[in-house]
Amino acid sequence: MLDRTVAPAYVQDTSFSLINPRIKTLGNGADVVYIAGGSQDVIKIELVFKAGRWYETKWGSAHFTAHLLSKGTASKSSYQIAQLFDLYGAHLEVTPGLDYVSVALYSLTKNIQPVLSLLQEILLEPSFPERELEQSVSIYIQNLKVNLEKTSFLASKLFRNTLFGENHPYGKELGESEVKSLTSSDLRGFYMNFKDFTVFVSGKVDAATEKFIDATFSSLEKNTQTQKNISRNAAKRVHQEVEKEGSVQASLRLGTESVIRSHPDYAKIIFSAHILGGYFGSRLMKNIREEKGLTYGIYASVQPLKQAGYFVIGADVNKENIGITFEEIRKELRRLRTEEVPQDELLTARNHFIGSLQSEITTPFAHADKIKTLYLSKLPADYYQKMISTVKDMTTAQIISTADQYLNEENFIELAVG
Amino acid sequence: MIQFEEFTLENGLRVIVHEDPTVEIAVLNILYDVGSRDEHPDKTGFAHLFEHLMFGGSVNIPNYDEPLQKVGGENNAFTNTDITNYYLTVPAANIETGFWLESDRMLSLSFDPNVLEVQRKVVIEEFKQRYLNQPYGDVWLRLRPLAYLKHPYQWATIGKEISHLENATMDDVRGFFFNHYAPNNAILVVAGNVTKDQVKRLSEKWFGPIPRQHVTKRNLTPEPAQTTKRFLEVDAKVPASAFYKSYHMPGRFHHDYYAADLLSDILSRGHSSRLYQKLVKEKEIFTSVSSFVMGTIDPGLLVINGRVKNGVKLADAEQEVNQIVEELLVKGATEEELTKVKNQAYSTLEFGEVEVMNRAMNLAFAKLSGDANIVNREAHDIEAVTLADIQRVGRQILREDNSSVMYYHAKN
Repeated sequence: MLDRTVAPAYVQDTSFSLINPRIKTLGNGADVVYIAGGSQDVIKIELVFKAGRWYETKWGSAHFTAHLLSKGTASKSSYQIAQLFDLYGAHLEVTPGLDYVSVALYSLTKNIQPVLSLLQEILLEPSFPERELEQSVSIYIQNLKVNLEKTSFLASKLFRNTLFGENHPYGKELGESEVKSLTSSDLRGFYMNFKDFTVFVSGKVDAATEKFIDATFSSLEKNTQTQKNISRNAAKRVHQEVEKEGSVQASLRLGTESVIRSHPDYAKIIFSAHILGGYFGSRLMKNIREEKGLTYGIYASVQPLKQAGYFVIGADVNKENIGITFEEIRKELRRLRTEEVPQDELLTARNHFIGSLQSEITTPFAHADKIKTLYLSKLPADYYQKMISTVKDMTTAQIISTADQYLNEENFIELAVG
Repeated sequence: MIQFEEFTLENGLRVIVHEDPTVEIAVLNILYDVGSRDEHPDKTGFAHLFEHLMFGGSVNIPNYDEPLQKVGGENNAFTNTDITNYYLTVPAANIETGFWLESDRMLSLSFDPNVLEVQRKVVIEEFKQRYLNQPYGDVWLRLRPLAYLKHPYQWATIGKEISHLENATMDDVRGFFFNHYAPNNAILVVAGNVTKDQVKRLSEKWFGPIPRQHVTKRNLTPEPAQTTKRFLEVDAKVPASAFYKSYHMPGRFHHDYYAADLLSDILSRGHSSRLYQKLVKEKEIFTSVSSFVMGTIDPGLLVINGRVKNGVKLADAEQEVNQIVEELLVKGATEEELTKVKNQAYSTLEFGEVEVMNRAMNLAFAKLSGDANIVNREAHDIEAVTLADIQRVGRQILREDNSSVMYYHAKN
């Protein structure tokens, strides 16, 4: 007779096998990182430029320079560019970030030549048409107005403002007047920053495709971006509740500055954050959602940017529950840094952390994302393996000391908008 | 091409195995043939509330999530108008834990009143967070009852109103469970680093003993053919006015589905599409515009929507949209356009198959039509659509008297 009350036996696997990337340095000095794998006839070619908001001298120039790349070249209009990508079923995804700008081309491998040639043309001769800029700006402003109606957007914005300062690239949110003042020549000027790049190629790649990719990116100019240091004042602890008329719920954000990926305590911090609010069985989810039903979801996470990291907890709750939710979150933070995590909970959190890290790498694109992280942060190839063993060996005493040092609620910024 | 094998247990559970030894994980997907279309009009939102209760402990296992997390697994679920779908990922060696957990909650739930009370609150917060506390969040709560007068697609999966969730009782919960959560009303797909023999053995072991249940045969009121245009105007506190127009179209497994899908792609997919080029780029009437098909099993909707530039009247915006639709119907699409949208669709299929979990979900959903192998025929069926099909289907669907229009006015 089957006994359904007894769980099946399981194994604890701590391996983490990333595809072995092949890094090729082209004649111009640019690296192309090949991550071959997968059985579908698809390829992703991602260029990462050291040209994010960090390098702006005029706010918004990185965002709009990136955004306008596919809106015109010396000989093609935005329509002609879109027409060609669409015709081949390819897709160009441009993501301007705080540190980097990413330009990713997704295509069927069999169609890569014409669409990659188009990408090359875009990168060699972008024209940044004035009218395209005006359109993009006006659409941006409307989207911004919509976002400003969302309590979650307002709360995240206020959180980064408070933590990094309004005039720091990580704390900055572009405003209407700033984007309106951008000109086509600002973008042409900022495009000079798009010279420090690395290419990540993942998916199905044959020899002919590889040769073509190498030749394409050899034609671009490669320079090293100048180091840029930006100073800021340490954030002060605040508690702020901002009323937003007509909202049904309030968005909460609590957190503090944290560390970047290369920091020796990084793995310990993210695992402590995992126990607190990193998965469905975490303490915050159990307490605030599963026991009290105060929210649809609550999370805690570490956001490691290139120059600094931060830790943040977020949730949406009914306005009348703001006080109790803050109190319960503080209670959980205090408990994490004062009481030992029970062994059974530790085992669950640990196995879940390791298992979900392993489960992330089921596609060549996911492998490429991990490899990209290692490359850009200059981390060793066995970084994730080491992270897993740190988590596996972490003791309850280490969790207490890590939480006490990095997740101490007494140093937190606490915000509610709604 | 997705290779798979299938078999059916004696209790009626349909099982599909898709072996992919290139990944180190295994995934398990269970689709229950129940969605919000199966709800009583006075008890809406129930299929989805029920999905939450499925995580509140089963007859022999007090907590669903913890044992799965302990073996390094992850899980989630979704409910829509047609199906409720549960899925999990584990390191391949621990797949039996998935069988154990999923089979126990198919056998029976704990029916703990406290779980109902908490999840009721959680779902009400979800209702508020996603549908009330977002600009444009209530659009579908308003558009559905406009487009559907009889068919249960007239309410959203989250429910018509919060009071329906507030009034749900434990008797409702039990009734719903025993009427829908049965092996003969489910499709199990196991994929990844597994073998057919292993899946067969584990399926027999864990799911085999669950008794078949009587499942009431679905008997939904079909939506009568629409004969006059419907119209709704709403004032909302949003920064930009928005336009919505929906047309009735065939369901997901109808032979004209692909033609309708490609038709909507011709209208708005990509920045070279007709609506985007004319209305966003050339005339600057809309700041965003899209059209899409709902892909529901019963006859669905083709929707055109967009936000207009400040100062543009929605009636004028509609005129502009109508003109483009009209031109497409009269002159037809071009050969190049058809090639383009087919290439886009083919590319989407290929990219969609990269992730093993997607392959598993697609197989489960396809099996609902009776034939899982439609996952491998899709590319061919898309290829077979002709310009004449596009025009014929377009003329059937994109008619004024088949449309429901909503003007969503920005009011400050």
